[in-house]
Amino acid sequence: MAKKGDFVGLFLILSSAAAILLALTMIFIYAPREAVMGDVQRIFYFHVASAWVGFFAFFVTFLAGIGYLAGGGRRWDSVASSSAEIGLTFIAMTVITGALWARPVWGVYWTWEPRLTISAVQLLVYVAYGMLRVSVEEPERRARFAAVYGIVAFVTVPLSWFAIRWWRSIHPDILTGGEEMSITPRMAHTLLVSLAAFTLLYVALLRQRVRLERLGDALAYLRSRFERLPR
Amino acid sequence: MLNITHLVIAYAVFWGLTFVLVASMWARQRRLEREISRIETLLEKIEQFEQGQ
Repeated sequence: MAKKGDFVGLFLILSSAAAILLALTMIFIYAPREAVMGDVQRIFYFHVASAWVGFFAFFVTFLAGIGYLAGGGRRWDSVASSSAEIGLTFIAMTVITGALWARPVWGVYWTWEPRLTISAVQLLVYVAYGMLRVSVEEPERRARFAAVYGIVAFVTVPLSWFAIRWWRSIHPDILTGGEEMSITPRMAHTLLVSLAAFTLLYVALLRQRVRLERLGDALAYLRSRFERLPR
Repeated sequence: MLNITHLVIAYAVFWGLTFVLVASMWARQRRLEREISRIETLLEKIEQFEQGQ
C-alpha cells in the first residue's frame, strides 16, 4: 500500500508488522498463563492495546478538530476524519474481544455495566461521525460540522476511562489490579510491547489514510478543472 | 476448551478487522488512482486537441 519511493511509509509498515509479531510471541510464549482465568486472559493484551489506540485516535480527532476550527485548513480535517475511522475500527475490536473474554470469565458475553455501556455508546457516537461526514456534501461545511462533532464526541473517552472508578463496575482495572486481574512483571512487559506495537500500527495506518484523503482532494481538483472546460 | 476457542476467535477478530481496514484503504486508493489517471489523460487529450486547432 505504501507508494514506490515512500521509505518512511514502508519503514512504518515493516516496523509495525515486526512489533506485532514480537508482541504475539511474547503473548503466547513469554507471558505466563494466568492462574484463575487460564489462557483466555491472553486476550487482554490486544484488548487493552486496541482500546488504547481507539482512545488515542479519538484524541487526535479532537486535536485536529480544534486545529481546523482555529484556521488550520483542510489538512487538519484530513487527519481528523482518518483518525476517527481508524479509532472506530479499534474500538470495535475492543468491544468484540472484550465480549469474547467476558463469556468464560463472567459467564455472559455482555452485561449493561458502566464501562461496557459507555463503550457501546462511544461506538455508535463515532459511527454517527462517519454518517455526518457522508451526509454533508459541501466540503467546508462538512469539515466544520465534523470538527465540532469530533470535539464534543471526545467526551466519551474520559467517560469510558473513569467509568470503572466513578461507578461500581465489574470491569477489571489494569492500573489498580482488582480481584480479577493481578499483573506479574512478565505480563506488564508483554502489555507494554503490545501497546507500542499497536501505536506503531496506528501511525502507519494514519499516514496511509491521510494520503488517501489527499488523493481524494487531487481527484476533486481534477474534476473541477474538467467541469470548467468550455463545452 | 471454551477458553481456547474464545482466545482463537478474539485474535481472528483482530486480524479480520485489520484486514478489512487495510483492504478497504487499498481498494479506495486504487479506485482514486485509476480515476485520477483517467481524468489526467482526458485533460491531456483536450489540451492537445485545443493546441492543434
